[in-house]
Amino acid sequence: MRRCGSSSGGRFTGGGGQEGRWPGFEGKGARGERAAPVVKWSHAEAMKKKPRGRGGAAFTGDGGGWMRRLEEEEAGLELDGSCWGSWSEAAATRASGTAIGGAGEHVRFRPEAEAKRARPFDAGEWGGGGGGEVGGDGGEGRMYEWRWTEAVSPEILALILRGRVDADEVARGAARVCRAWREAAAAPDVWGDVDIEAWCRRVNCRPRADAAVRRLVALARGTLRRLSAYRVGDAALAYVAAS
Amino acid sequence: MATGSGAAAAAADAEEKESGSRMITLTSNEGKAFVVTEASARQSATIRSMVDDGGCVDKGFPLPNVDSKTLARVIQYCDEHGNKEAHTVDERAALAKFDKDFIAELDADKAFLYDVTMAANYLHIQGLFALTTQCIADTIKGKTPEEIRTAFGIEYDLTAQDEEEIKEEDTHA
Repeated sequence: MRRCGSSSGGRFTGGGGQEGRWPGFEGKGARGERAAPVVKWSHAEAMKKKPRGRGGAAFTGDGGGWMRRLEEEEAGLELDGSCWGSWSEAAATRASGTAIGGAGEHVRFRPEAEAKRARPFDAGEWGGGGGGEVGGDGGEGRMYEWRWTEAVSPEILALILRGRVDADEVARGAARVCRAWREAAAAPDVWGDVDIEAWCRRVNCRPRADAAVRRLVALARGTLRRLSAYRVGDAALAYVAAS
Repeated sequence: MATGSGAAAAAADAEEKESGSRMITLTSNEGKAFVVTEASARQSATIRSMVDDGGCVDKGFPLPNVDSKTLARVIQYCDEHGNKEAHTVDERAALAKFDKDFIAELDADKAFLYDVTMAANYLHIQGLFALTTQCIADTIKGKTPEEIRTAFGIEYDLTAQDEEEIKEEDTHA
């Protein structure tokens, strides 16, 4: 199935084990091997199907049992005939995987590695319909979700992070999730009121606390209102006072 | 209720009842109309101020940023909080339980949680927005970036430059 097969494996984390470097694309390695049938499709046929295919079919996988939902049966049947056979095998080998619509096009247009980088934008476009579909249907979190990626509102994310999540967690967690989150976490208002005291105590190292304080001041860009820290050196304090 | 303030409260209640009997139409971006009580609609500061500013109650409120499914869920929250009293301990407990169940359902569907959060923000429904953002924050807390990605279904799209920066951060702090 074009839509489900091509990218879905790479797109979602399948659950447990992750691949270090490209964790979001855990399925990718495996998928590389089975990408062949997809790439072989004729462009003409694929183009012909595209308008109907978008957002048409969504799959959710749960263990061995696959559930297929077709919004547009016609498209589904057509796809069924053309490639479901090859994909069903691939799908069955995956213990858990969720498929999402709209991703199929990528594989045809660009090589794997490049697709990794280029995907976010296309995903919003192509994945939108399908993603929403599946998500709206009580789909699980492991599927790729454009809303939380490129469409996420930085203001909202900043509001969520500010005051609700500890600063060191933001820096180590949320700020490293993806580009949109990274940008949102870099917003000065996330860093206006920061308490890194607990972190300072845990680390218990003056130079590191100093470095952290300096970075926080830089991040807040003049909007720092309150900063709670511990074991900070004079130099860093002077730096805070000066800024 | 025997005191003077009790009388004032009763008057306020009466007023609320009166306003509560008015119905307000909210229209989703798909054009579907939802008729809600005014008390329910007033949970939204955006709608409240429009109602208070006058006139347009009869025409209803188009909400171009909210789809039907999200609006239905938001209204469910507003109905619960707007139409029910929360004076006694029991009533408050019931409401808290409603909130808990409400957010647990959303928590299971992060895409929908996002939609509801955005709608709550757009409509300025403070209680709902606090509820959803807290839920999101709780999901983020104590997780590695990879776990966060898994939880929300986020794609890893950091560039080599970003990774470089992250490495640098790690060596500094």
